[in-house]
Amino acid sequence: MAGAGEVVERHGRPQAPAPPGHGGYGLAELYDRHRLFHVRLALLLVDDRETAEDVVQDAFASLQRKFGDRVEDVGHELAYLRAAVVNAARSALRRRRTAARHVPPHSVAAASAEVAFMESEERRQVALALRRLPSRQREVVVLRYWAGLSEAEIAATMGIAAGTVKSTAAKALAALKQAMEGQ
Amino acid sequence: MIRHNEDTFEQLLTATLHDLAGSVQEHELRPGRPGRLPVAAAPRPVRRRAMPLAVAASVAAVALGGVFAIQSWRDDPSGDSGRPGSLGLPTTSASPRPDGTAESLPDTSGTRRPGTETAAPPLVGTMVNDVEARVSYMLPPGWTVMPESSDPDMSLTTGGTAGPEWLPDVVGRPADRAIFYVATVGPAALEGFGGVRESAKALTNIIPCPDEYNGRMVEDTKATKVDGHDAWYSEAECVLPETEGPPLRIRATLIDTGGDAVVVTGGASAPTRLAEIERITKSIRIQ
Repeated sequence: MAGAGEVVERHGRPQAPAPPGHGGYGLAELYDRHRLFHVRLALLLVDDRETAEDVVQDAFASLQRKFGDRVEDVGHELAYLRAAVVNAARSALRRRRTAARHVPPHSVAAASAEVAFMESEERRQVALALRRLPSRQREVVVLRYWAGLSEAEIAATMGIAAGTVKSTAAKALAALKQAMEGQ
Repeated sequence: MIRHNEDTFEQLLTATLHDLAGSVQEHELRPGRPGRLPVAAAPRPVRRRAMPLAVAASVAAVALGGVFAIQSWRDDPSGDSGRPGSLGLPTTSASPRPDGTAESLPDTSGTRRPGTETAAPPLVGTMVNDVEARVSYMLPPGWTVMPESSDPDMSLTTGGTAGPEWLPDVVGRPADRAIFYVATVGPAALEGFGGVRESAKALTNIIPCPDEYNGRMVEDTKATKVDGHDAWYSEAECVLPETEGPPLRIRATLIDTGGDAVVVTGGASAPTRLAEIERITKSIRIQ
């Protein structure tokens, strides 16, 4: 019985999860190992946890559509997943901006709980300044300073040139510092 | 005014990002299942039979013993096997199996596209990802993904409140049963009816239950939106013999996706089940 809550794969025939160490492992294991990281990444891009989880859910669904349930090249698939999360987060922000045009201004500026409860006032200000960065600058900052990716990896994730990563990062830092100095 | 040199600012930025990211812990995420994709987030591919032309169009009735009979709607609208009220559409029926199981069966809050209607409360349940129909939706707890149809003319993903071994005497009141499914309407059928909107009207005409079930339309082809796409919604109800409680309501929505149109149909009697069907429909995401 395919009970609600169970996972039933329907690709024409049953697929046993691939064991680790035999040319790859299953998507479920990839999910277990990397979900939290990607939810955190998404959270830094979209600010709220629910949206972040939705973003990661969509990204895993996209990963599965593209590669199926067996992970053959972990590095390649994680790179795809990371890019999918960044893209989905960008889409979520775009939708949010569209929605924000239709709600009273005072209701969209509230800080998230995570920001509100930060102990350091300085960090709280940085967090608020981050939220005001344009999407692309924010993505570069998060991928560079939180995920620790190289310029080349960031470029691949965002689908931009390495040179653009560098210039965008510089602009983002300048904007953040300016915002902080204006506090 | 706060001033920073390069190093300390980058350190501050890194520390801030780690603070923010660290606010999410594993145990706070939606519940998962060890070694498996979590219930709430697992992409769930459902393969649909590669079939020539046919497309399912409506759940016709909850049959005696609580088993659903399903009509299918062929791409060729010119056939002559239609049933009363079907505009002569050729249909095939999946009869209840002798053991009382459903013969074939039907079945996305994703985040959301521009134009998506008001977000429904998040569903916790099973996410169904219909790869071929390019549709995903969430089935709430208590719903079961049904087996694929054995009818080669059916192209369905299905959700229901009972599994394939569903026996009338072990599943509670018939009035508490429900079904939901997704099917597609190919270009040939759409063209045959003169377009998506016209197909929706044709669908309306085959939804009502047969005369003997006192079928009647409750909502007649109303424009709506599903995940930002134009859609047409209709609702019918009928009184099934030997069942108690409210009449069976059948809700069908035809969604214009720009390619194959998607038909979403749900049927239930109990208000709680009808509300669940509405929530499932709101969770639909066109991929």
